[in-house]
Amino acid sequence: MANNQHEKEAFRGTGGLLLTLGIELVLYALIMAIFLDHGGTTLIIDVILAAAAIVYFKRNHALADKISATLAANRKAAWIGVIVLLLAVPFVLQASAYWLFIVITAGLFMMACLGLNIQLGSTGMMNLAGAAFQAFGAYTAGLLALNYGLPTWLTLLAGALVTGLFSILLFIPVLKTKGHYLALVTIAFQFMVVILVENMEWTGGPQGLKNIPLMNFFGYSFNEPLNLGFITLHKYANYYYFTLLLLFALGIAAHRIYHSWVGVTAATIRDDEVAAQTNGVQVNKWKLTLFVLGNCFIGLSGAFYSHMVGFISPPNFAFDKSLVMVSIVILGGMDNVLGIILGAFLLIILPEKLRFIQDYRFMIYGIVLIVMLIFQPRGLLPFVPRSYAELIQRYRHKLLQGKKAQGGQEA
Amino acid sequence: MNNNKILYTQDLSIHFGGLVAVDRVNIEVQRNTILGLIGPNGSGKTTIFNMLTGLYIPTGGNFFFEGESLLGKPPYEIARKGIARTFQSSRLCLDLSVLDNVFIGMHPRQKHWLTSAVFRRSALAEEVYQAYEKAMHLLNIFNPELVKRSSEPAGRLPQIDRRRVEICRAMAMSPKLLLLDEPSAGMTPEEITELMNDIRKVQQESEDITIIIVEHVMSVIRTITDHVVVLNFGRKIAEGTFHEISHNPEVREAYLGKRG
Repeated sequence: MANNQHEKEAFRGTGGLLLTLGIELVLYALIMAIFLDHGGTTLIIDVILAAAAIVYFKRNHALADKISATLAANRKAAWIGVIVLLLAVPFVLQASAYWLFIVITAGLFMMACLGLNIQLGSTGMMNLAGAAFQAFGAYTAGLLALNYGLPTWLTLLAGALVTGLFSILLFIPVLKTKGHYLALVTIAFQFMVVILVENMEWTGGPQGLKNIPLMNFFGYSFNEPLNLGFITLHKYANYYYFTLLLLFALGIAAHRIYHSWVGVTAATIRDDEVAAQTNGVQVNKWKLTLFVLGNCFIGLSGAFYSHMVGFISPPNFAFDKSLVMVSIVILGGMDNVLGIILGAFLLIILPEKLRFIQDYRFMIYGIVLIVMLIFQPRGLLPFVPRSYAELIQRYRHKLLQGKKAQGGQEA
Repeated sequence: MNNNKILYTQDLSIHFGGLVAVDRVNIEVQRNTILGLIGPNGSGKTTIFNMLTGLYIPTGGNFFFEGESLLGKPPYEIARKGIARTFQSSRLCLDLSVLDNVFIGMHPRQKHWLTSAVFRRSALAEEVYQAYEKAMHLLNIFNPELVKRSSEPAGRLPQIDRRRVEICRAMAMSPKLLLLDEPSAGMTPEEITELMNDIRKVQQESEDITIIIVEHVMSVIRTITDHVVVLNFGRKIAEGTFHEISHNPEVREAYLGKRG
């Protein structure tokens, strides 16, 4: 019902379509300009523009609603636009491979945080050992590739699965604790893992693992520049496109999990465990399942990292990285897949770009975090109640057919 | 006669440290009736509910549901056997939509989980559609307004509607035994009248449902219960029809104090 109302308010027809694509193009240009600008002027201009836009739209709800309704009405076109623009990123950043690398790093954080969001955002399980689980993925992939020469697709898969398996180990103490105590247990685990990795010989100790084979899929090496015939892109373009592919797959999976009984069950466990239990939910089983699932995402991002950089060592997986992951989920928006993407983008790109003010950058980073949490305490894109209209709408045809068939049988 | 008992307890007891909260209580509940459980504050009514739903493990005695002892079974298993409940202080997930709150009641019957969620959306859609219709049907019985507001967060509803949603959630389980823990708490007299109608609707809606209700408002107990059990300091001090117990001197003493 609410959807119909929105459709009435939207800009219709070609105008709506052009507006949708126009908004995307302008946003894209503003963001890409940040990367292409060597100084920080564009960044500052963008921040001012963004703040002005937020203030303006907070006062003009009608216009904001109309625009978001237009975007919703032109969903398909909007997605096609986004995909095309994302595919174009390596072309735009052709001359600045460094920024392409940063964008990929942000992508890996998104991957990890999609997993963390399943744990923290959806189910309410604080996990401050994200970096430690990334280490499991990275070291598994690195060791398997170095010692046994396994192909990349297998080491990536193994990285994700082994991380999942090891998280069962942590889950035993996790099961006994809740809230702040759970946070403490995961912090302890984080430090244990780093210290162990640092002190064991077969993990390379403090020197870490060197010369991990870079990604190679069935003979196609990611270490060669990407030659498209008319243009040759930097080798990072390979990694970029692969990250994009993985992110789309994982993002859709996470979104679908959210819009399913699993999402409902997780949210009930998060909000009221007792209510969940008395409604027949096996709370521990679900917590374990979702904890392991989330860690598989995190492990995959670690494995990806080790095959992209070729060198991993304990400081790559230190506690501060876990904190960044948690910040992304809280700031982006708990239990909101798009929020995670936005949060990771901001929290990874921003400090990199702020390098020009050197030591002050982390101070500014901190101020930005605090300000955002004061004005948007539930995250930039907060949790929105699930709607089933779309799911039912999409399969309505099939559902009606099923009903007819049933009716026919009865007659 | 035995066949007609849906639930009975045998010397059900629990103590927390030195405090005996429930002391050798024997209750029998006949199928398809409404049993009132009354008593002054702290007499152990909610504690009994917590034991019957597996949240507390009794320290003594036993209880049988449909002839089977459920002693020591975890809450989710007891729920799956067909015992549903509401809570004194509402335990809805206020951020979640009204629909989601009702859907969780159908959790034990849902068949499509992770793999369907990601790979078999059409199978999930079918189950969602059925659940959706059932939830809307339940909400409509209690208040047609709830159907319109079904996608709003439960936290935006007034108190009485929240309680209705909680009853809907319990009913979504298609329970055989429904435990209502002080459903009238925090309601106005008009709302209480509506609530009594709601409870009658619950009975009409399901062919086989037994209700135990904990209540302080005597008009509710008088109007809707078939049988009343009175507790005081964790013990059963009387039982019978409302008329019988309201003339019982021990009950009057428990509620009003000894006549000086």
